[in-house]
Order: sequence, then C-alpha cells, then structure tokens
Amino acid sequence: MANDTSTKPSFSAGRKWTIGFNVVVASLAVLALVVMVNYLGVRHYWRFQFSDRGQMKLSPQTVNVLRSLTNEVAVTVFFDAQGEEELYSLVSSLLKEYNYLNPAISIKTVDPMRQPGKAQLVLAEHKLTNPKDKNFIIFYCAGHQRIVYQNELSDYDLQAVISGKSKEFKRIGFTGEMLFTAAIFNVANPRTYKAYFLQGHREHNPELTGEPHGYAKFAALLKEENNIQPERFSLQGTNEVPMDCQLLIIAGPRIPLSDSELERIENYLKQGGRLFALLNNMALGKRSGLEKILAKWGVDVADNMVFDPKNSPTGSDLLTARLSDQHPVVKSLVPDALRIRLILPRAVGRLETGVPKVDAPKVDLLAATSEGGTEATEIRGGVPYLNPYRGQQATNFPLIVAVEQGGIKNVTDHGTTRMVVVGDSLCLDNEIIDSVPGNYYFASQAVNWLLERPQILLSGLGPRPLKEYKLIMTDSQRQSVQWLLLAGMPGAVLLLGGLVWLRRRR
Amino acid sequence: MQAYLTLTRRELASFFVSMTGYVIIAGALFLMGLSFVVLLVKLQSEPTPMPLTELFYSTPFFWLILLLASPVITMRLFALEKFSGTFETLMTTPVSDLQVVLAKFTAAMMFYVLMWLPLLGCIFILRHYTTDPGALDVGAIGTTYLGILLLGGLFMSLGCFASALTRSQIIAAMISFAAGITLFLLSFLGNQISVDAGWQMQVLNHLTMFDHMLDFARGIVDTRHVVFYVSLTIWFLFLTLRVVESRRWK
Repeated sequence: MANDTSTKPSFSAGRKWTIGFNVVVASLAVLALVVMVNYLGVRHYWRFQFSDRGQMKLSPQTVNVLRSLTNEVAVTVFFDAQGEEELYSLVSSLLKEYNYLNPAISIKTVDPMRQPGKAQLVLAEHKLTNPKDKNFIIFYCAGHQRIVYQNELSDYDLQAVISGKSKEFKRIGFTGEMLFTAAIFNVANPRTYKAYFLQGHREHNPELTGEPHGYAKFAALLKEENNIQPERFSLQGTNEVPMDCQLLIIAGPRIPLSDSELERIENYLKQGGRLFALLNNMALGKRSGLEKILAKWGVDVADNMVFDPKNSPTGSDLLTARLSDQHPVVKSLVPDALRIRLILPRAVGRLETGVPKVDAPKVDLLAATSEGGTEATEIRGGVPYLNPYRGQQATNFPLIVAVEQGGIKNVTDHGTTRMVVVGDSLCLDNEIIDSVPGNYYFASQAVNWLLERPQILLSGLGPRPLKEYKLIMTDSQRQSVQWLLLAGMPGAVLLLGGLVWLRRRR
Repeated sequence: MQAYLTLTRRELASFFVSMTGYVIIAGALFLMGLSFVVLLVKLQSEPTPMPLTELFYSTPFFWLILLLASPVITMRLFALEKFSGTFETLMTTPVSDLQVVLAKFTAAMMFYVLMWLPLLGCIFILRHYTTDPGALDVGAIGTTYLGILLLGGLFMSLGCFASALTRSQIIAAMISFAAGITLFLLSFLGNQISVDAGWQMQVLNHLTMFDHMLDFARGIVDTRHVVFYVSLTIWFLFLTLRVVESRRWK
C-alpha cells in the first residue's frame, strides 16, 4: 500500500509545473512591489534627527544653496581615509548630508594609499600635477572646479602649542560646511570675475608661458580655479582703470608710474577697489611710485632687500618664518607649517604714524622673517652690498600685509577697499609659484580674500565646534573593566546555561 | 492568535532549554566586550570627536556579531524540524503556514534582541568613565538599537528562508551567511564604480548597509533605510512562506 502511494504522486507533472510557475510569478510580483516601494521611498523621504548633538544638521545658508542647485556637481573625496580617519569621517558624513538633500551632488571617494591607479587617473583628469596637500576634495561642475584642501578644513587651538601646553595642534572646529557650500555655489554658478594686470612698466606678463618670469601659471590659477578672467591693460594716455575691473594686479613694475597713472589708481582704490600689489627690488633706486599711494593706506614699503640666512635655501631667497594665524589669507598655512618663498624681497609693513586715526585703514601683517633677518640697501656690481661699517642689527622684517577699509564716505560702488601687498613679485612667477606649495596656495587665498567671495556667500556661517571625548581610567580600573567585559559577562551567561542544562539533566 | 503565541513561546524556549542559546549570547557578548576593550584603549590614548555609538558600530566586531550570529540563530528554525521529522507533525496541526513562519521569525527576533541587550550595559560602563556625558546620547542609543533591530529583521528573515530550503542546519547556516555577507559587501561596491554610472550608483548607494547604520548611530532615522529593511524583510518572509507551502505540491 505504501509503495502504491509513493509511485503515484498527488500532483501530475503538469499541475506541479503550473503551481511552481505561479510561485515564481508571485515571488517576482512581490519583488517588483519591493522595488517600487523602495523607489518611491527614495523619492519621498524624511530624515529625523533624534540626537541632541545635531552635528550634521546643515545651516539654512547651505540648505538654500543646495535646494537652488539644478546642475550636476561631482565631488571627489581624495583622501587617505585611514591616515586621517577622524577628518575623513567628518568630511564624508557632511558630504552625504549634501547628497541626501540634493542627489545632483554625486560623491566619489578615492584613497591614494589604497587605490594608487585610480588616484593617478583622478589627478590626470583634473590636471592636478602638484597638489598642495595629499588630501583634498574636488568639486566639479561643467568644466569648473574648486579644490578644498585638508588643512583648510580645521580650526586649531594654536595657543596651546604657542604656550607650550601641547605639542600637537588640537582640532577645535570643522570648517567643512562653509568651504563646501562656497565651492559648490562657485562651480555651479560660475560668475566670472575680471582681473586686470597693469602693463607698460615692465611688469610681469600674464600671457608669457615659456619665460621663467612670466605670470602665465598665476593667470591659469586665476582662470581655472577661481573663475577670474585675466586681462592686460595700460594706463598710458587717458586710459582709466576699466569699469569692470574687480581686481587690479600690479606685478613688479620696474619703471616708475607717472603721476597721472598713480592718480587714477588712487581713484580706483578710493572707490572700493581691490589691489594685489607685488613689488620688487628691481625698481630699487627708481621707485615705482606705488609706495606713495600705499603710504596713504598705512603701508610702508622700504627701499631694501631683506635676508634671513637661517631660512634661506639658496641665499638669495627666504622662506617666511612667521605667518599670521588670524588672517584668512594665510592662517590655513600655519598648521601644515607651509611657508611662502620670496626672492630678495623688500620689507613691507605697517606705517607707524604715531597717533592712530579712528577711520584709518586696517593693516594686518601676514608674513615676516625670523628674528635673524637682515637687510641691504645698496647693490654693487649687481649684487646686494652689506655695508660692513653700518651696524647690521638682526630683527624680524615684515614682508606681506593686507589692508582693509570699509565704510568709505560717499562710496558705494564696490564696498570695502582691500589690498594685499607683497615685497616681492618673483614669488608668483612661472618658475617659483609652485616650487613650494605655500606660494601657490597663498596666491589663491589672496585673490579669494580680495574678491570677498566666501565671505559674501557665507556670512554668519562659521566653523562647527568639535567636542572631544576621552576616557579617564586608572590601570586597575581598566583591567577590571576588561575582565568584566571579556570574561565576566560572557562567563555569567555560560554559567546560567550550564545550570539550566544540569537542572534539565536531572 | 493563540496558536501563534504558543508557537512563538515554544520556539523561544527552545533556545534556552539547551546550551545553544547561551553559547550564542556568550559568544556575542565576548565580541561586544572585545570591541569595547579596543575602544577603551583607543579612547585612553587619544580623544575622539565621535560619540561612542558611532565608534562601536564602526568596529569590525559589530558586523562580525551580526553576520555570524544571524545564521546560527536561524539555522535550526526549519532545518532541524525537517531533519528530526517534527516538521510534518507541526504542519498537520491546526495552524496556518503563515502563523508558523511568523512565530519562528518572531522567536528568532526576540532572541536576537535579547542577545543585543547587554550592549546597553557595556555602553553605560564606558559612560561612567568618559570626560563628557554627551559621549552617550539617549537619542543616538535609541536609533542605534532601531538600526540593529531593522538589520536583524533582514538577516533573520534571510536566515528563515535559508533554513526553510534545506534539512541540513549547516547548509542553512552557510546559505544564510553567504547571502548576508554578499549584502554586506555590496556596501563597498558603491565606491568602486564611477560616479558617471548613474542609476547603478544610486542603487548601490541605497544598498549600503554600512552607511545606513552610520546614520542610525548618529541619531538619524531616515525613512529610506526603514523602507529598505522592512520591505526586504517582508520579501524574504514571503519567500519563506512559499517554500513552506511547497511541501503541499512537491
């Protein structure tokens, strides 16, 4: 009887096939439902924050920028994720919030330590031959790109190091949101600025690529990374500073400017103009004339050549020994100990007038030599002459200053006047600009500060303060906790299991 | 309903009448303890801006517990009954297939939740010694547990399905483990393909369990993650039901 039932199946093969087919169809139908529900879930979703920390809550400014974004922005996080785990975690989680808010922002991560091939492709794709840092984030949209480097992303407690309380720079703030939002806004809304290079006095030429003293690399930096269109212009004849000039660059004039030219520059500055002035010692003895104007803005340009033997790789150059840790142009160079290389610079500092005026321009010292700086005021036989009879007292010489003056009466055209004045112009020429990363980076930061770009967009958006958590335990406490976690708790459960087993065995 | 509750109680009790359940919990506790010991050493040597919930989830031990415990918990649900011959007896009782599947799933989930409860103890031990009580946020702990629960739902339903497919517990555990680890590894595939990959990239990002859990550990509940886990859990339970029903027409 049993044999009979085993040889006669309950269902015919056809029936079994039909049922099986129905099961497959039903399973696929439910799978399709699952896919549809997820598709709708991705399109219409909510994110609820239940933590008090709210660390990744985006500011209203960022939300506005992201909501208004319609173009695709590709973000490449080029980061050594394990070497900089903490910062990478902050960066990636912040960018994910951006992506959640607007999927038009796509994120790709490349770890140069673990994916060297992929890293090379990214560097080639974005034409990055000499990045300032090994870790950075690239924002790219329709041919425009911005790069935010690792050292810009943190605010450090510098006082602790200066006072000797700590040997390491402690990260106290994360500036990612302000920088990322600015970068996204800039690449997605590529407003082109215009920078005019003054010509006609043997200044550096922004179109010269082959010539070592040309400024083509600096011009490329302006164009490709900062959306600034460089143009050349002359003040000869009756030419004025062009109306659309948002940044005036005077790079190393060797022939003095005429009084009428200086007057027109002065008028431009009075109307809230922006000036990037790079002077040099090649005009020594025949001053360029700019010194007079700069003095009116509280800047003193000396007729000298500054040396700093302790910080001079070749003898004729120097590496800045002191950089301001407060000013936005150079403060991000400080934690990475980046320095600006200058060639035989003139001292450029604050003009001491005695009684400070209330409405005087604000002059900030950005860079200086070490205490061991010396100067020469003569050139004999084509080389600087250090007069042995003149007492050479080593001191620190100022080299770069930033000037700012707001609220100029009857002037509303451009807003505040801003200037960056450097005692050397060779530092940004084709040969030197990327010889040390500090120069290239300084140039980029300086033009961004002069054009006031991040500040306008992100007024009120500051760095996020970072809390730090640390355990304070004695060795015996730690050992007790380790025993409890590794042996006590699992052992107690096994003991309980053993008791249950024994009880049931009886 | 009564039958469902009875079956659930029976299934749950079966974990505790033998050593199996205790060994699983002890193993999970040891791994949890190990991860916290690693954190202890790390937090003592250098401070970190990450709260404890986030630190814990990012250790490999968290995922190890999840990936190893789930197959071990679920492997016996159907496979043992089929092997020992009690499955037919169970299916001839006046309970529906759905009740059987749901009861076994519920019991496995309850055991899974019990297994994770000591985590609270570990967290509060560490809280006692941290410099800032903010290192532990009640909201973040709650959402971390929600994440663990949702992940558990997916892995338990997957395990139920694997166990229903075979008479061998070992094979059931292997299927469940392999499928679980595949799902987990998909989390890392998103980074390997080009940004230009379009919808493929979006799909892979949606499957990234690692990122889902990061959100939960930070105190964020995203409805996309909830939909993902709940819908997949339902799908695997549906498949399990179909497999259980298949005995009628095979």
